[in-house]
Amino acid sequence: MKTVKLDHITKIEGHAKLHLVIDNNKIKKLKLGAFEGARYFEGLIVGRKQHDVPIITSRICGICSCIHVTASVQAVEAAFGIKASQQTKKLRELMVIGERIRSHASHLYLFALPDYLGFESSIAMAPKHKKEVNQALELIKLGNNIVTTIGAREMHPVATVPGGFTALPKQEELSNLLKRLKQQRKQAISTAKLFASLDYPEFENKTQYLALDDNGYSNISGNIVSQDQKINSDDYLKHITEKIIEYSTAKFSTLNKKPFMVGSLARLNNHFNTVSKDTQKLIEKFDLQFPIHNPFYNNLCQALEMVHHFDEATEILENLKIKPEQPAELKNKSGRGVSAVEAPRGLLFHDYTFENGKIKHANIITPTAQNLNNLEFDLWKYVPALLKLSEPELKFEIEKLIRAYDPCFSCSAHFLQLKLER
Amino acid sequence: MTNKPRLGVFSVTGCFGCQLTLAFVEDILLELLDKFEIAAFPMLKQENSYENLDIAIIEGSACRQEEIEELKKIRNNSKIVVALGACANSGSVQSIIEVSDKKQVMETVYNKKYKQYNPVEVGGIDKHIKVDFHIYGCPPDKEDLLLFIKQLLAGNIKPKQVDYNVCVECRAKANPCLLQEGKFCVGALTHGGCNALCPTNGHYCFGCHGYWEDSNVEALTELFKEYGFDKQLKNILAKFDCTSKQIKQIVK
Repeated sequence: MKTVKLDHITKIEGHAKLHLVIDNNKIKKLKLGAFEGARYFEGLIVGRKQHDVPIITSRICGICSCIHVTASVQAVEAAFGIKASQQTKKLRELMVIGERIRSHASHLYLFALPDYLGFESSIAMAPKHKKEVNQALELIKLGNNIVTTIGAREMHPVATVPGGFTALPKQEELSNLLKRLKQQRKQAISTAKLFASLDYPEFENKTQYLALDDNGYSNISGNIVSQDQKINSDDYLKHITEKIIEYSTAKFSTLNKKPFMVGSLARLNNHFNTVSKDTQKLIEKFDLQFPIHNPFYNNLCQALEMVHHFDEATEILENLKIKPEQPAELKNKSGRGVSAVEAPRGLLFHDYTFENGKIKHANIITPTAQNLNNLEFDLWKYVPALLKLSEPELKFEIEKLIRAYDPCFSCSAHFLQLKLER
Repeated sequence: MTNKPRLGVFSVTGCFGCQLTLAFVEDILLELLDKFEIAAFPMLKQENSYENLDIAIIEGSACRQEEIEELKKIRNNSKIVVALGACANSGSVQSIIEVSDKKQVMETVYNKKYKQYNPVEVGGIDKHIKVDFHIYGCPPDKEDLLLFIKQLLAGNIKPKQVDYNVCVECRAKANPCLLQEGKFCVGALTHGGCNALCPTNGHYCFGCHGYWEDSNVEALTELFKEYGFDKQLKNILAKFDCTSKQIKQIVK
């Protein structure tokens, strides 16, 4: 009997571990779990007023705080029966696109690429691949600048509140962003080309792919779709079930009782024909046949999405003329509001029930909590072919698959205390 | 210096935002990393060593017993320990549970099963280990953080840190005072270092840099009462620094 323990999976956000027991060339036990400590967010916001909620839930995640705040303010607005202005919607969309660009660039270059180029880390990769690392940093900087221009801070944006924005960007700042998007567009395209040129392990594991849908590819509005189903966002609980697993602080999710995947691969599997024209041309050029069932291709899909996001942001900025606007006022109300959005790593739900202007009940499901079950499902299928490898090689291949999902354990593990299994 | 200082960047439970703030110094990141021997940085590196560290930067707060052990291990191997950000300094939003009905919060999440889990008392990492330097904020201000690192690199082992409230920075920016306009703001009770970011962007300060020790807390709470803000004050302050004695007193 051989036990393989990955006690601290590196180059991801948050803390996760894997426990694998192999007996007679068969997997006896395979448990992937988050060991982030419990943070109880859904409990902490009970009794809070609408303005406090996004400030607290933003702290679920540093890398994707903008989308958490957006989901939070949208859920509050839905509960309070407020409709955000067109300008507010566009600015929110732009902010989360900026966040998506920096998140994808960070993940692709700093976490995933060293796996494919044979380096221990991006730090070790930097001297030999200065061009790639610098390109990553420039893309991250652009994403950060978009976020800061709109949300006033790179992380945990302060200007986004229920009802609108407390401060608006200046038109010249937006023009400057547009100029930079046009200048740096070639970097997004070369990122897509780079990730199309990598050798991905041959592996397929067909699953259900779930994504937001608003007459096609969507970031912050609409309902949800899988290959064979349309689900009203408000009804997500009828289809997605979260289960408490003793070895993970992140819950495991199922869609109609089976594992499912969210994120870039799921988004493109559903919406490859509604992304920007140039992204579609690249998909054709790379000869990609969606749906793709190889999770390693999630990385290539992130790179393709980057081109799409450049095009989306450019379109928004070309049509956006800022007019002065105050955030809408929210009067105390009772009711439920659900917001389903796409975080960099996949679908995210914020679901609040208010009673006289205070939270009575809250449910938040993060992308990694949805993907974790599928990732474990993939590992059960992927690992048997790797058993001939030495232990370090085996560990490396497993980590590579885990990293391809771009998991975020900070996000997913707020809700349960861990019971360590040793 | 012939040998580069050995640096470790670690995290216990948190949102990873502080480490990202450190990584998001895009223009100078490579140059900065080159000034150190990066012994450990699990977010960025696969191979990590805890031995003989000159500087350990830690984000997050301990929410599990194992993390307390991890903190001790880091402390025992490091000459200088820096608490980076609100979680490491006071527990940040995780610490809300310490001023809430703990049983009820846990029951909300686990139903009656909460007893099977064994939560530790949440707070800053200085609950468990000695901390040499504190960098405040959720997230910390990038310039504030960089200034600190540059001073360390220049061999200044007593780097100058911000020791004033948000009001000082707000005044320097010539922002109108929200309190004087009869609006809510806790900048007067809050550690500076953010360049008065929120009031400058139309939002009241909600205290993400934590309680400023020299605040005239009695006079200010009286003032808030006079304005009829007592309830808001509790709600706003019960977020980032719930474990500091003064804030505990106000919000309990």
